[in-house]
This record gives sequence, structure tokens and C-alpha cells, in this order.
Amino acid sequence: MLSFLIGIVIGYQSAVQLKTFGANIYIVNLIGISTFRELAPLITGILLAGRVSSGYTANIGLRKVSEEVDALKVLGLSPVVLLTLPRLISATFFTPFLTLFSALTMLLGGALVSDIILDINIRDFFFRLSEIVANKHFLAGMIKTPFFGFYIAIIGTFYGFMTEKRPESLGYSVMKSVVSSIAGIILIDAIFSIIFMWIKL
Amino acid sequence: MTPIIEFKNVVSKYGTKVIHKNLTFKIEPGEIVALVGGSGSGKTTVIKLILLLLKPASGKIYFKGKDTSHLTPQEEQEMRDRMGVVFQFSALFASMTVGENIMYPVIKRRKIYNELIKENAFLKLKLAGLDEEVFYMYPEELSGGMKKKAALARALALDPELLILDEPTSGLDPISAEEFDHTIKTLRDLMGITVLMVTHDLSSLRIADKLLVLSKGEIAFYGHPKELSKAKNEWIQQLISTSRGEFLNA
Repeated sequence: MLSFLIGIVIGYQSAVQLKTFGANIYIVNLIGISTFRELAPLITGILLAGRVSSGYTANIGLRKVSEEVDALKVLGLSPVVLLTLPRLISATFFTPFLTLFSALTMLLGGALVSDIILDINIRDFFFRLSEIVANKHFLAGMIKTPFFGFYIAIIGTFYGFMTEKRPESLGYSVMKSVVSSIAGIILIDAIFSIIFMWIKL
Repeated sequence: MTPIIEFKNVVSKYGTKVIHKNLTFKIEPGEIVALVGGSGSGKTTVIKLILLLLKPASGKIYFKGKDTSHLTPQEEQEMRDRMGVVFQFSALFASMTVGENIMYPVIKRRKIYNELIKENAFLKLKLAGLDEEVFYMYPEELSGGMKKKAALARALALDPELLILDEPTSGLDPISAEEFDHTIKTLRDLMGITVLMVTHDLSSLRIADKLLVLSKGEIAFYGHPKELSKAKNEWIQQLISTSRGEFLNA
């Protein structure tokens, strides 16, 4: 839903400017490339940082406060392996799929605005999209998403285990987890942008 | 008789902070020992030391006469398997039913048939004073007292020789607390199990055979609860003078 609305906003802002210059058709380039390369991965990353990272921290933190983590240790089981590994795997592997879904809904929002304001119908929008958005733009966006997922899971579980056995510590851990995740996602994105510039991707 | 647990000149630290200066005490088989002390006196650290989750900075800890300082991780775990722990907040795994919680340690630590594991879980549930239908309930559906009893059933799952209770009656109403104390005493009388109970609830001291009082990282008193009034320690005198500790003076 959020991606769809962002697609509408980007589409509307671009359409108004492009219409002034009579460059209506370039809206597909603008929305298509920006969505695949940057917007969809970044928005998905930030949303997951807020939703998943906080969820992981809260869940593990609560287990720490309620001594479930201690109970696992007494049973000779590694809480780090049991509670981190499944989260790490799921976040790393599912972030690309969520990014792809986010990109498609964002494009749909952009296509809808293009149809209404610039008279580019939705079918033409997606037809042109398939012609101009090269694989490299798609790849540039998708390559970084597993790293986003991995980082979010690491931060979320790390702050979960850092939670102290005081209830107020849990809220503080969740806050630190969300802030660190969002800041980290933007930093990783910036690093990838520089790398892509070097390797001309 | 060989003590279940013996501390000899144990010093423990968190980083540079000294928690215990010199602990020496024994817990004999079949005893109920209550561990009492002010906040920050190192009661929980004693539990961690016994469970071998924390190593002493110096001194020795013996479990049934065996020195625990040079054990391999596997030997340490085998030793831990002979102890059952009821945590302060019950620490039941929220995603599992009570039955699964009780079966979990057995599944992880023993190689026996599933049917036997289930039968054992029902037996432990009964020993802890809970009805069979609790087996299928989730921890969130239980009252505070029932959660403690379910945690007790899980602690009994591996037939421990030493039962460690961390503030077992905290957060319970007086009736549930009394019931829980009664269950512990019955378990000791029936199974001869040794119990170490960390508590702030002075009324629970009635079931204790011995009282171990920690103050400022040292043992301020270790003996029968009735002898406590003779102790000259300032914290103990304050404890006895409170209305809740009056019966200790009797």
C-alpha cells in the first residue's frame, strides 16, 4: 500500500514537470529506473527496519526479560543459534521477494498517474518499461536487498540479546534497534551506489 | 554423606566488581535451603555459579563431591541435567503448550520413546499439583500460580537431584504461595529431592531446614531459621524487626 502511494506521489510530481517540457513519455524511464534501482529496495529496507528489526528485538528481548533465554542455556541449547539463525535466514532470503513486490506496486501507482495525467495508458506504460529498463537496473536494485535483510536481522537480534532484565530496557532496545537499522540501511545503500559507480552497473 | 553442593572459599566477580568475597557452605542431600539477602547481595549469582553458567574467580565448587572447575562443556551439561530450575518469571516457552514445555528438556537431553516422554510429562504435571487438562494449555492461559507449578513440572522433567527455585512465590497471592510451598515440601518428603530456594518471601522460610543469609557479598548466617535471631548482623536484625519477619523471632 505504501509503495503504491509512493508510486503515485513520484508519478504525479514527475508528470507535472515533464508535461511542462512536453517530455511525457520519459516518465516511464524516470519511474522505472528510480523504482528498481533505489526506491523499492530503500523503502522496503526502511519498512522492514521498522517492522522486522523492532519485532525481532522485542521478541528476543522479552524472552530475555522473562528468562526464557536462561532456560535454554540451562538445557544446554544455544539461544543465539536457536533464536538468531532462523530469523537471519528468513530475512536474508525474503527481502528480495518483498522488494520485488514493492517495486511492482510502486510502478502500478506510477502507471495509474501516468494514465490519468499524461494519457499514457497502463499497458503502454509497462510495454515501454520492459523496453527501457535494462536488466542491469533491475540487478542493481536486487543485489543489495539480501544485504539489507541480513543487516536488519543481525541488528534486531543483537539488540534483543542486549536487553537487560528490566522491563524498561526492552523499549530502549527496540528504539536503538530501529534507529540503527534505518541508519545502517541508508549507509549500505550509499556504499552500494559507490560500488556500482566504480563497476559501471 | 557427601553434600550435594559444596562451596569452598568461593570468590566471584563481574568484571572488576566483586560479588562474593569468600563463600563457604554445604547443602546436604534432602535439605530445603532458603537463600535470603538484600537486593544486590549476589543471590542470583550463587544460582549461576551452581549451574556453572559463571565460573568463580577463585575457590572451588563441588557437586556431589566432584570438583566442577575442570569439567569439559559436555560434563558441565551432564551436571546441569541433574539440576532443575524454576525461574522467577517461570520462563515457560510461550510458543509451546505446557505439555510441550515439560517434554522439551527430555526430548533434547534423553533418547527415549515419545510415549514414555508424554507419560513422564503427565506424571510431573501431577507431582507439581496440576490437572491433566493443563497439559494442552498455553502458558498465557494460566494464572500466576499455575505458571509456577508448570515451571516446576518442567524443572522436574529430568528427575533432578537438586531443585533450584528463584523467588518461586514472588507475584503470587498468599493462598497460591502457601500451596506452592506445600508442593515443594511434599516433593522433598516424597522424592528426597534437595531444594535451594532463593526468596524474599519470609513466610516461605517456614518450610526451610536451613537458612543462608547473604549480606555484602558474605555469608551473614547459615543455620536453622530458629537460630537466626541470635545472629548479630545488622541486616538480619533489621529483617527480624520487620512485621513480616516477626515469626523468626519466635
